[in-house]
Amino acid sequence: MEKVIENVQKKFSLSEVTSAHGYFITCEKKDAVSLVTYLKNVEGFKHLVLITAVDWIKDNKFQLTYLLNNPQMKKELGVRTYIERSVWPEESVMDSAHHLWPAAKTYQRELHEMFGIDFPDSPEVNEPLILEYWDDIPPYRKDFDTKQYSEDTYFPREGRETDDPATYMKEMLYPFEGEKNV
Amino acid sequence: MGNSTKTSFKDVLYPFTVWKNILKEPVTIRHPEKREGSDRYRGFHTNDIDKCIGCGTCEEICQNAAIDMVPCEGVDTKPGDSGLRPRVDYGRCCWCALCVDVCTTNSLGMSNNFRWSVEGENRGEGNEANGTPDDYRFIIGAENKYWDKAEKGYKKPDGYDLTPPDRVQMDHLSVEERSDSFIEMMKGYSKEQAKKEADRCVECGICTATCPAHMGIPAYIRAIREDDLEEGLRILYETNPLPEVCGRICTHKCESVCSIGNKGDAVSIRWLKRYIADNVPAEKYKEILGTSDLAKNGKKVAVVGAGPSGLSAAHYLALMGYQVTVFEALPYAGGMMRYGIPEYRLPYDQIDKDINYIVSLGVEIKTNCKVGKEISLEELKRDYDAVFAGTGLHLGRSTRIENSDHKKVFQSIDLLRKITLREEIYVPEKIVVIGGGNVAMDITRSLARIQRQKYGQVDIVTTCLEPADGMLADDEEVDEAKEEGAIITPSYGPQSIEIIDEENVKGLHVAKCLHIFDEEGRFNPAFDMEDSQFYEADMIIESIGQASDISYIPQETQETLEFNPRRQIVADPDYQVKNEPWLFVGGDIAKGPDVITGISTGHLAAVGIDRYLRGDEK
Amino acid sequence: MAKMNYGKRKADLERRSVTGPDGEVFEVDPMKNYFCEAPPKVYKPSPLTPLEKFYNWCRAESIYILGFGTGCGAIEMRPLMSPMYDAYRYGVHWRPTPRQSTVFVIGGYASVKTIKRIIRSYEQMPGPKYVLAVCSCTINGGMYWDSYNTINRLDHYIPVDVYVTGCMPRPEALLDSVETLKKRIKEGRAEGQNKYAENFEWYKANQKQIIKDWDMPDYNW
Repeated sequence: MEKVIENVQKKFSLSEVTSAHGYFITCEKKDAVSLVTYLKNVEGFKHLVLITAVDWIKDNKFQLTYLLNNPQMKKELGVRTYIERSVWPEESVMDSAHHLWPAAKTYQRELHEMFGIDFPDSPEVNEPLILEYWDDIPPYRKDFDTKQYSEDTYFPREGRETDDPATYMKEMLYPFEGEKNV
Repeated sequence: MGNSTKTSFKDVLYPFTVWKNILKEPVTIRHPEKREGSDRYRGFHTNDIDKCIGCGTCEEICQNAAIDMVPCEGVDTKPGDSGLRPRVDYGRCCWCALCVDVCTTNSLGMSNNFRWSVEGENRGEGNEANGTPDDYRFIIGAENKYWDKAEKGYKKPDGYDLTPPDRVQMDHLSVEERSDSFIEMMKGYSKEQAKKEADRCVECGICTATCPAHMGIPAYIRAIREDDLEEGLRILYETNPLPEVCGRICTHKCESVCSIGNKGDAVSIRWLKRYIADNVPAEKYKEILGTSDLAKNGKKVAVVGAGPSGLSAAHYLALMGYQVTVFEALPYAGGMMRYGIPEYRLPYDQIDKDINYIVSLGVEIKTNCKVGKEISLEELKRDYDAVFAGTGLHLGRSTRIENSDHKKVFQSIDLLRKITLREEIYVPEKIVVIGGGNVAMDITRSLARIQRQKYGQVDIVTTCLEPADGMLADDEEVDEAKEEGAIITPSYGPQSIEIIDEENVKGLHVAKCLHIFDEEGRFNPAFDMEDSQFYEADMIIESIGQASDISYIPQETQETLEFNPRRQIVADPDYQVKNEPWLFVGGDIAKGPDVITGISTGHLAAVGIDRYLRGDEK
Repeated sequence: MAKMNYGKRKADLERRSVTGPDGEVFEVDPMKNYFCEAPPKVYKPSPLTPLEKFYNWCRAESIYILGFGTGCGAIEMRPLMSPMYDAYRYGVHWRPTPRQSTVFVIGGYASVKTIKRIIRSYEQMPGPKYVLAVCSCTINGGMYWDSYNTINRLDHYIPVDVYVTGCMPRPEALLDSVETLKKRIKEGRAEGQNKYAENFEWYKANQKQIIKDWDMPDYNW
């Protein structure tokens, strides 16, 4: 595995290599698709396990992960890349990898729907996959408040109320002293 | 072949033979089949309402927001019990049993019952008999449910706790190291220890109500966990300007009601407070607390007595912009914190750290200036806009037994003061101490140290009325005193002091105490004279309590004061004295006695003074 | 801006010309041809009380459950079919199509996508029909209380006759709820179908509020 990573490093500039929980390499956005192409065609990572994304809202980045599998070596390698996180309703854009694996199309449709990451050349990427007519912020973005949305949309049963023990004890036991504050 | 295709009459009748089963018992089990859940099935919840303290930890841990804390009929709010009880919503619950696992009192459990169906809404008449979906929201254990008495079901297994039951022990000096020196005994938590201990807190906030100053305990423990000591210090100073002191010698009433303490050791709140104060350097206090430049409002307030209540009042008044002058009779500020508590429990440099910060806010402390002697209270009334008196209890109470006025009978409070002032005191080889409170332990342990320094051995007997499990002193104080060589004899009360001549005493006669309070609850000890003892001693120390000295208050003012049965001055909730609106009292002469109550009264009085001087209505 | 393409899905439902297998060309209007346009009706009980009671007894003793597992709780229906619980002895049967069923068991959480199918199936069931809401999720959201895509309470979308709490309720609890349902039917209180017809507008409004791609007739009978 180290050999593969060495080979990759000769051709591409990797910003990070970790092996703590499996092997993950991080590359630049423009290199990502050519890197996975190289891994597929030269290093034998013929199987695409998945493509997924993580929303790093504080860094204003989406992290894309291509998880690849090499059936000969029985090893998995994750390729990470960071792309600019657009402000909704702008969509982030990434190059498609569907020409390498047809299955990538489905993952890219999912990412388009759930994160608002567009893959312009990917087939059927604009068609809904899971959600039917979603008209809000893509739900896997961290700035989408799922709890608030649920409360506003789905009629929670009324009559729920709760007291904080400390505040309640303050009201009951020391209302006067509770007010002191400089 | 042909024969077989012919249908006989018997074949026609044959299907009807099954009709004979009509009259037979069925072979299947009759419905409805009521199979019991397995022994540790996680079924519907049970709760022991009396054992539950309403800490709300179950609500906190519930991932489905299924639990609400609501007031419950028949449960009162009292220290250590919020009066709330968990109400579960079975439209949310997923029976993961995290609430049972985290329950701080082990009151919450689960039965192995799981059958409960109700009817939906009707078009016409009601369906009360079979319930409505709103019934799925109920206070566990308070609304008779058929499974309340179930014995089987999931209970938290023994020895399995989400919060460790044992507290992190603080490093301290060994008996050999400490028994002849006044070096501070407890070493304080390291960062790892403090974080580990802070992790045990469930942030229920039950402690806040019991703390006399209502400190934001869960908040500052969270600050420790998040390693944000600056925020921790800010939270401390919201309610307590003496964190170094309280972090060491507070009576920690909070720990007595800590919800974690119901099934193990309480969180060591006091030591965590000390950890924050110890680990923030004094130079950074002003910057962290944002008190570098305080706006002044031009009004002046006098504070009598630089004890915890006086310093607390001075601190909060200074924050509000008042020019505060503190008058202290003794050479150093600190009051009982300095003169009552021995150095090995509370080093003087730590008191100074707190006091110096208060002084840096512009508070002026005039030491060696006794009100009533150097300056009179009338002068203060004339020169200042308001006066706060927190003069404490500095007179020892006598047992008033035979010969208790002898020369070799001393008051513990006087001796402690002299030890602090490094004055020479008489320490013979045999000493008897009367009293079982923390002050008695302080004088016992201080004298034991001096005895060891002087004679190389300890011979000191401390006797008190209370039985061993009811002693007023903290358990660790008693244990440490024993380790240091003192002999503690609980349940014995003093009867008389035998004297040799005018200069020397022979010893103390004590008798077994049967009970301390009579049936009406008054102090009236009864003794078993058959079971008496005699302790030889060259010196006898009384440490049975202190009284206030309010002789500095002029006679005519004193006459207007009211006192409660404990000889404390009766005042308004903000400690303004009735009939004397310019005078506020605090500390041990008004409430308590202990440091944290003093701090709280000082804070409340400061708020009261501010209200009074701004002319606001109450 | 999101550029989702919904056109292709809609096209199947539009009015168009189709060439049949024998070469004949004919017009199809799926929304009209496949469904009845009449709104649901309220059915009055028989004026003869003993007769109505007899009908209710019959209805209660032949529970025909629609074999549509809508959520995780549906897994608890399967053991009921097995010899271990053998629900058939209580007159409980499972049917493959809504047209043959009388009881709809909503097995737990219903996502927006599922609720659309639930409504469609429910409306296709012949009356009198009953709904058994299983699991916490149908009562007040359960585990999925803060999900962006899962309803919190079922009775805002279709009328519910009996609720069973549990996550998930064991098969015995489900069987127990069938007993409750039988009792309710026998006592003549299981009027969900009529309630749906009476409050049709309200139910439709709630349904349409969450189902944004409403590509079916208002009433799917």
